[in-house]
Order: sequence, then C-alpha cells, then structure tokens
Amino acid sequence: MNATYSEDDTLSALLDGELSDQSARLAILRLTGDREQQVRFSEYCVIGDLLRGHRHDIPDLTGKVMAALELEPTVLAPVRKPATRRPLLWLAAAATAAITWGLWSTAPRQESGVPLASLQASFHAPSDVTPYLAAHQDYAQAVIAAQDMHFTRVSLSGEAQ
Amino acid sequence: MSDREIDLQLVERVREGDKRAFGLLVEKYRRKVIRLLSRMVRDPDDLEDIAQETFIKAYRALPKFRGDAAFYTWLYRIAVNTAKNHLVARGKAMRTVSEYAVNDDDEPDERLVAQDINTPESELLSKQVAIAVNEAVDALPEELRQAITLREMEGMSYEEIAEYMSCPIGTVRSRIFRAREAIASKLLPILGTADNKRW
Amino acid sequence: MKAAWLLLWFAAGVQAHAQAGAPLPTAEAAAWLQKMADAAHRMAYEGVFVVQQGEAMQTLSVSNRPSGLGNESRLQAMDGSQREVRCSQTGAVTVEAFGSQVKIEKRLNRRHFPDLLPANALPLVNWYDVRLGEPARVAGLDCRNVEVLPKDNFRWGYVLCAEKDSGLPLKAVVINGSSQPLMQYTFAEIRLGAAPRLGSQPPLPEMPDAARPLDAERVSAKSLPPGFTRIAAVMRHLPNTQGEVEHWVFSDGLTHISLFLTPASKPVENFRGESARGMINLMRRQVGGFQATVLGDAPWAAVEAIALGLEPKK
Repeated sequence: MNATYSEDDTLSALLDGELSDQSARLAILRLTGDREQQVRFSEYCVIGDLLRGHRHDIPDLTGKVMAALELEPTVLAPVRKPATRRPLLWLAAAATAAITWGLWSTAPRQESGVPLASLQASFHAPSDVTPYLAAHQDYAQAVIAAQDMHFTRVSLSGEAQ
Repeated sequence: MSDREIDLQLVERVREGDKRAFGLLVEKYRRKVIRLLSRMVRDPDDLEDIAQETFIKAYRALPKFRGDAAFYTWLYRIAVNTAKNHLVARGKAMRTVSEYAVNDDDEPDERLVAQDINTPESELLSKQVAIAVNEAVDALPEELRQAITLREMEGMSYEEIAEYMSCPIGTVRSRIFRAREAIASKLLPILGTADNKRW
Repeated sequence: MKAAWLLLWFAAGVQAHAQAGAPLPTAEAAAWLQKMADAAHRMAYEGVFVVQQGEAMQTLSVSNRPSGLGNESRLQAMDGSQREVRCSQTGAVTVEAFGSQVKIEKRLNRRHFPDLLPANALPLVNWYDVRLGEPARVAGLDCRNVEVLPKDNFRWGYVLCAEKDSGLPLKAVVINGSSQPLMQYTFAEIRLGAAPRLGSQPPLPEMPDAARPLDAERVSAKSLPPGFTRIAAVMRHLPNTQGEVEHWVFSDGLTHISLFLTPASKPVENFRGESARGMINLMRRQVGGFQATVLGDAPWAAVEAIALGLEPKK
C-alpha cells in the first residue's frame, strides 16, 4: 500500500452507499480487480468496525476462508438483478421466457445536438421503419438505443423534393 | 447505490466467477459474524472453525441467495445454524442468546445480544490497533472527527450529516475520506506492510 | 448526473481525428487489421465501455473469451432497461428482463464492440487505407491510434485505438468524410487475460430459428458499391410485427447495409431518411411489386446506389 496520501475518495463514498449506480458499478469493478484498493477496503472496514466497538477478530480469517475456497468449485448462478418496474410492452399471453419479439427499450431520450433545419421539410414516415432499424442492429452495433430519424420525400432519381 | 445494493453487486460478481469479490464480503462482515458467534460459542477453537464454516457455507449457498433479504441477514441465519449444528454434533451446550432477534427492518438486532467481557485477550484486535484508532480519531481536526463519527457510529447519510454540520454534501464526502485516510496511515506501522494484509 | 470523467472523454473525442501520416503499405496495413481483429475475437477480456452518439450515452459491460475456433462473448447494458447479448458457438441471443419475465430472441449476427472487424480482415485493404496515428492512453492502458479510412465515399471511417501489445481496440470512433465523429466507443475499465466462464449460464429454452432461407428471389441488386457483397438473405420476423420480411445484408467486411423487402399492397411512397448526425442513411422505394427499404451505417451515396440498383427479376 502506498503510504502516500491519495486523492481518490471514490472507495470511501462507495462504502457509505453514496455513489450513483453507474459510479458504484465501476468502483466495484475496479475494486475487485485492484489489490491496493482491496487493502484500503479492508482498512476502512477495520476502522468502521473498531469505531462501532467490534474488537473481537480472528487473525487472518479471510485468508483462511479464501484458501479453503480454492478447493471449492467456482460458484456460478443465473444472473438475477433487482427487478426494475417497467410495464410489459408485449402481449400479456407471453409466458416466462416465451419467445416474443420486441423493440429495443430505449434509455431516456437525449436531445440530438445537430439541428436538422438544413434539410427539406420533414415527412412523416410510416411506423414500420423502426423495426427495420432494430433488425439491422443484428449486423451493426448491438444494444444501442433506437435512432431518431429525419425523413424527406424523394423522386426516383434520388433528388430530395 | 445503497449498501445493500453494493452487497448484491458483490454477490453478482462472485456468481460470475470472481472469487475475490467474496473475500471483500468476508472482510466487510467478519467481525460482525465473529461477535455474533462469540455469544453462542465458548471455545475459541470452535469459534474459529464455525466462523470459517459459516463463510464457506455462505459461498456454497450463493446460487440460492435471491436478494430479497439483506445479505447480512441471510449470512446471520447461516451463522446461527452453523453454530447450532456444530455444537450439537459435538454434544456441546450453547449459550442462550436471543439468536432470533431480528427487528422489523429485517436486520439482526445486535443490541439484544449481551456485551461479553470475557473474550480472550489474544482474540481482540490487538490492543495496539484499538489504541491507535482511538488516538488517531482524537487527533483529527474537529470537523473530520465529527463527520466520521456521525457516519460510522450514528449511521447518518451524507445528506443528513451535511444538514447537521451545515456544509455541502461534497464537503462531507471529502471530510470522511480524509478522516479515514488519516486513521489508516496511523494503522500502517502497526498492521505492517501491505503484503501481510493481502488474502 | 454523469460523472466528470465521462465528460472528459467526450471532450477528448470531439477533436478532428484523421491526422496521421501516409497510408501504410498493403502488407503492413493488412497485418494491423488482422491483429486487431484477432485480439478482439480471441483474447480473454472483460470490461466496461461507453457508447456515445451526439449527446446520447450508454454504458455496457462486455466479456469475451476464446472458445473452440471462435469465441464466446456477453454484453450487458448497465443503464436503461436490463438487456444483454450473449454470443456462443451456437449463435447469439438477446435477453431482456421485465420484472420476473424474460424475453429471449435469437440474433442473426454477433457483431459488437470491440469485435467490429471481420474474422478475415485482409480484404479490407482494398477499400480502406490504414494509417498509424498517435500513441494514446485508454482505460489506463497504452494504445496506438490506427485510422481505417475509406478510399471512396461509400463508407465511413474508423479510428481504432489498439492496445500496445495485443492490438485489442480500446476505443473506436466512426467518422465521416470531414473527420467528424459520428459515434464513439471507449473502454472505461478493462481487464485483459481474464473473463468469467459464460457457458454455465442456465441453458436457454428451445427456440425456433430466427430466420429461414428464401424460397425464391424476386428482386436483384444490380449496382453494389465496390467491395460490397451480399452476406445474408433470409426470411425473418421483425420486432413487434406480424409475419415475415425478406432481409438481405450487404457488407464490405466493416460496413453493413440492410435491405428489407415486403410485398407492396398499395403504391409505395419513396422517401429517404437519415439519423441525427447522418451516420445512418435510409431509402425506401417501390421495386416491382415490392416495397424495398435500404438502410445502413454508411453514407447516403452507398444506400442510394444500392437502392436505385434494385430491379424486379423477370
């Protein structure tokens, strides 16, 4: 461990449950891969426990447990994240793990920064374009939110009207 | 992300194959588990065996952990059952304790567990460490000491502490961090080099 | 509120990109492309990356490991709804969770960052110049900018930042003809050489195939831009739609353009479309008795060329 003073207070805030979900996930990811961070994590745990009066400890309990786990098969289990409350968009008849097709759910829509004023007056395209964009993503970029598209009529020569 | 969610994330990491994430959970809860077990178990050798077994059992049972209870509540129940089974198998009596003391928030209520004054000296986090931490806390500038005390001993959130201390939340975060770092640096000569603390 | 460091990357990414030296000789160019393709495909790694398009940002985790002659990978969205993509020897699926329900769909293909280059990357040198750019640092690792720039205006360019030793792309920026960024992928965190085993996920339920071969071809594509060939032609289901559509895919290995054909029950209105920064272009027109929709991550010239070259077969 560096005896030098560190500036990064992320781990401290993580321990207090005060990071945003995204920051916390990244901090945890970093923690599980970084020995120095793990040492600091242990120190913070000792400090907190001592302040709360937990003085009783077994020397190197963690080391002994981890050594014993070396002999255990690696635990693997289905991914199960806390459920988000989103309405079902598909047919209610779908059973658990039923095979239904659906659109990509989008993250909250962001404003696109590019003004489209330079283009011709827009034209309201039929709604069947969106599924094609989603289907194209099989070959293009995965898991990107649905695109905002701007449409204009064309004559057969390809010139915009 | 709440403390409970963080435990869930660590459990997920373990379930994805990262055993080291389990070590972090052990580090976080070992003293709480030991304190609980020490109320039920007299023999220090038994205590160590049962503590180890508790965590190993928890590791094996992780696929069944659904996240509807807090991780520590789930661990608590494994600890109690492990202790009972271990002692019964050896024909040993267990100290009576309100082991099922779980309050409405589904967290084990440790205030119902009697304070023990007979823990052997060798099992206490060395007097030196405890003294060092106390001295380090006393030596902190007032605003750092207050911040870390409110956080660790009163369990207040940054927002609550900010309100109490009339300062921005960012300041609270920074003060708690600096307090921890100051205390940790005083522990360094006692706890030895980092290598000794790796697991 | 997005963390300060995310904004730093975005700021760093907005500068003009294509600034490197002369194009590499063919053999060296091919070697660089193949090295990057192999690394993304066959290395074990796991990490978290951010995708940016304009102001829109998404965070995803990815893991990859070699498996047999290919690889297994998994992408998980870290914001928005819970969805993931899993690719294995047998195919690729999308998994989405809604409360206690899980929706699984088979994917037709398995391309995703950082595995954007084709398994055989050598033919790309016919259509793209490769130039070496500046060294850089991404996610704590040293890397080198490698510009993969089109020789014509039928494709977008890619600036990849390849990890110094392995060549794994740590960052990819899609750029247009004026070197403006259209889309950017950047690793925030990455661990090389270690990835969790993916095969022990619970087996997915039996599912019908996502697509089936065409019975007959009633349209032909007469003018494809140089280097584009048809790599797929199937009947498939579309999201949230009844019935099947014909889906063709043209590609030069890096750029992909789709064609969708459905029987036209009434006259088709011809129109074009483009996404906010012009990265995706689209054209719809009538071809014989069909409604044809051509779209892709490519300049309008390529989409137009393909769309106008469609003819009904006699």
